[in-house]
Amino acid sequence: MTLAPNISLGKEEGLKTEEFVVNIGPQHPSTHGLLRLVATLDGEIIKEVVPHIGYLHRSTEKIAENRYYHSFVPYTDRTDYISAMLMNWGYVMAVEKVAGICNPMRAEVIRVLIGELNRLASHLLFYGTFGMDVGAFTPFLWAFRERENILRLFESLCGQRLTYNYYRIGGVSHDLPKDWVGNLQKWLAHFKQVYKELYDILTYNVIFLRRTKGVGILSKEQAIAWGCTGPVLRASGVDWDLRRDETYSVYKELKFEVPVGENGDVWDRYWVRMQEMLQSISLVEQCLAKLKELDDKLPRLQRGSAEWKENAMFVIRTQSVLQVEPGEAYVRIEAARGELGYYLVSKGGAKPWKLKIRSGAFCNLSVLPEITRGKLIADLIAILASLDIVLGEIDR
Amino acid sequence: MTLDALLALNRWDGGLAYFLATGTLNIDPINVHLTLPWLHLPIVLAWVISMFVMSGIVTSLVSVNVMALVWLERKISGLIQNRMGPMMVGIIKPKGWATKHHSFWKWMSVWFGGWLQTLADGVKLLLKEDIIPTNADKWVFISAPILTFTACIMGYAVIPFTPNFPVLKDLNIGFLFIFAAGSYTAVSILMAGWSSNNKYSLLGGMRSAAQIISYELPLVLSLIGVVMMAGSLKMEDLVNWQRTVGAHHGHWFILYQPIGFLIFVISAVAETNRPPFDLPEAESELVSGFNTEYSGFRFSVFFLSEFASMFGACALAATLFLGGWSGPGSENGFIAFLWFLAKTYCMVLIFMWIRWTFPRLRVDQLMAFGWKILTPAALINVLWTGVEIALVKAHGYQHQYLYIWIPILLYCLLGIFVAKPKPRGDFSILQETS
Amino acid sequence: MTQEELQSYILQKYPGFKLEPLAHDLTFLVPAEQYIPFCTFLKEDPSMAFQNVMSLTATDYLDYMQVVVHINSYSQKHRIAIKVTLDRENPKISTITHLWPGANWHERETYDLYGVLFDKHPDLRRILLADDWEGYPMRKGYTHWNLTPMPDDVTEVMKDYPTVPNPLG
Repeated sequence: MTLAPNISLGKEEGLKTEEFVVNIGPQHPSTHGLLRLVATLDGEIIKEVVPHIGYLHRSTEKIAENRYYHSFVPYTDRTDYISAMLMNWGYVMAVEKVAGICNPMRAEVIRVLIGELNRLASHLLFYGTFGMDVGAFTPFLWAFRERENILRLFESLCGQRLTYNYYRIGGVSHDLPKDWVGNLQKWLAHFKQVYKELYDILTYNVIFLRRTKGVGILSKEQAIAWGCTGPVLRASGVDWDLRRDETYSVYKELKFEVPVGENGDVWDRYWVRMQEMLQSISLVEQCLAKLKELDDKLPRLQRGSAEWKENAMFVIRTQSVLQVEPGEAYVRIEAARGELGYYLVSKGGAKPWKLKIRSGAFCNLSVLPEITRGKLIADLIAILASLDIVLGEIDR
Repeated sequence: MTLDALLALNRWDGGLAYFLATGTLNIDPINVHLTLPWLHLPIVLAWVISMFVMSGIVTSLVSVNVMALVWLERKISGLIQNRMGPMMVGIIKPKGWATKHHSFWKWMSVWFGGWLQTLADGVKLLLKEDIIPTNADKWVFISAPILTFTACIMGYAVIPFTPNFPVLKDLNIGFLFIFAAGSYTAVSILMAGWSSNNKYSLLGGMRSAAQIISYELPLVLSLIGVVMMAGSLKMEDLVNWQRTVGAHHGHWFILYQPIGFLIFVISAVAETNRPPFDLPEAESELVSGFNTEYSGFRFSVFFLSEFASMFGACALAATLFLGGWSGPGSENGFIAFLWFLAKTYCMVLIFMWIRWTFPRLRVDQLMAFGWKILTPAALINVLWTGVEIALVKAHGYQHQYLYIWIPILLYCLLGIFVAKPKPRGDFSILQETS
Repeated sequence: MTQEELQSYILQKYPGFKLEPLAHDLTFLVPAEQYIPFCTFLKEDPSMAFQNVMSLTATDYLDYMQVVVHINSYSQKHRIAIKVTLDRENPKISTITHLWPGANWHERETYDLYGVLFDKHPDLRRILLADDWEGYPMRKGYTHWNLTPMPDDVTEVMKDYPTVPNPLG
């Protein structure tokens, strides 16, 4: 039987479909800030996603060229406002490297303690928003309850809940208050129980696994070539953590493991961050032990002696208008979202000549068009949430 | 109509006191005509008036319940999420001598506080500006929410709230009527999505229509087993079967059709667009899907119709699987109604619990689940019910538990071999204390 | 490889290169015409094996402009920085996206803020600023009605701030 000549079931004259351009954002409940994604869809399948950033660009780097070194610290808070302490830390480390300032031990231990606590808070926020984007509303509130407790600790420490301005060139701005360590230990004991609940409700839930396993796979080569860092890189199978491999501050004396994922899919990125939360808890406890050690040494140290300056001080008072010799340095730390680099060029004087902030989320977002090609639009949201971007850091 | 009711109609109050006392309100038009000839009411008018009265009662009952459900949803979600839910509008505060029982009133205010919240929200939505997008298809846009609500509420006509009070009591195909009326929502949601002139709404409307028609099949198939065992499509018969038939004066269908119950609950959650199947209204993906462009009262009609259909699905589950209005003391119509409400609210709480625990299914996974897993399971259930009925006809109800528990055992065995046990996390690091 | 080994290895292959004296990291000053060959060498040589671009930016020294590239290697665990001097009026350089795709967005940002044109870049357009913005803001001397610099002369301001002697001397 032959078909009539004008009926063709072949692919040359199939159904005429058009591509459909959908604009997601910049105002959207789940784009994590002011991000605009222009998605070209073919039905439900994504042909191309083009991210448009820059809605939150506040010319932080230009401002840096006009501020004294100490005055710039609050600006770094506003870049990644979710883990602001880590932003502060990178900047003050960069200035300290160029100016050649060494910090006392107590300051370094407090820096690591607070940094890890902030990483924990940032990952809790990731957990909550990721759960919400995948459709589970309850973990969001449980995670924020715990994050609220951390923020309360930070408020009692430095008076601020989001933009801390706590780190200083030479140490930290003030020492830990009297009952702070006790409150932290109480909260840690409580959080360990809550963590188990948070883990159990999502991680191996069947619906969650179906939404996230095998979705948005970022291969090792792609991740390395595109400059992804942080949990995104580790989830793709690269065992690299700046705290261990290019160690800074007190990390060489602290014991922690680096979780590495297998497939580089959305579930792995989630899992790596959950494990990093556990490691952060362990690091916080080790820092508390170190602080106790330093405190025990304290009565035997003579106030004003060299050993006291080395161990017990929490900040080296540099002049409020710090003059730095000419020099340049690229200093990087492992922030919550990846490698945070500060490239500081100083030509002498009280203000930097140039400051460039290399944020992890900027490079992580650049890989989005690659991993979403050919996927469904419902996956796009899950993938975007798993990259854990903060537009303040991307746009600066 | 019973003899007492007939005689009561001749009283000076037209039998109003009798009806209130017994909770019956069914007025059979032919008998009315025969007993009150001096009114010379045409039969149709009498019947129409009685229908209007009963429909009015049902609609108001549903509306009040829906208001309560909205409040309950917010309260339950809050309590699951470690917070308290609405507390401000409708404060529970003791006065006078009661103030000394402080902890009791605190407990009351957590569990029942904010009970007027829906009223406040309704007033707020009523006062909002009514926006119709410029290029929207105006009449389709206006009629979509009305049609959705109508489709939902038509199904209530046959649900037996009390022994004498489904509105269409003697409808032989009552069971089929609900699904016929409710399947109209697919069309009206598509109308809403299309007429909004918005790509997001269109995507949401299409997804929703696809989802609804996919899950209608397992929904109805799962109930075929119930109908086969009861032998009738009349809702009254289905409830009476659960009261009287069976070895010990009635067993609820949930014992005889556990698989059917599970499939029904899952399909009902999908039919009413509730999470974990709420992709058409997924807030984080499509900003509210097909109701993006609706504001003010039109949005509240959609919102209420979603809750009305959820309440209807729960009422149906309670009627068909949990025994409806039956229970100790349910000869009195009022107590029967209380039993009905209690069972329906049990199901409602289960629906809400599911909603706030699970993430959302992606649309292709949703469709695959409906077509590839639920429909075959429902068909197998029908097959097994047939086998069961044949065995019961041959041997009576003595070994009935075998017929119930064998399929459950088989499913468990299948599950153990197919599903892998969940790995636990490694929490050892949390035990180290410094 | 340690920094010294790296330095000696590269200077062996490219003896004409100078090191940036003011830098605290290993920074090579690379002439513009040797930029691509050097980068290709860094990527393909097995003991170098540089795998990605961490940061690519430009600095505006008033007489000239320099593009600064920081690249690193996970397998060999080393880092390096490359600086290329460009003409300030007409800064042009070749792109390295064909070697390391991660440089794509960094080069776009550098074009956006400094005006450095990258040859053969797949998609060179503004990334952070609006598409129709005129001018390159990060250049020194860029003026905008909303930009108020802090005073250059520090002594007036220093009178209000107490000077605390550094305890470490």
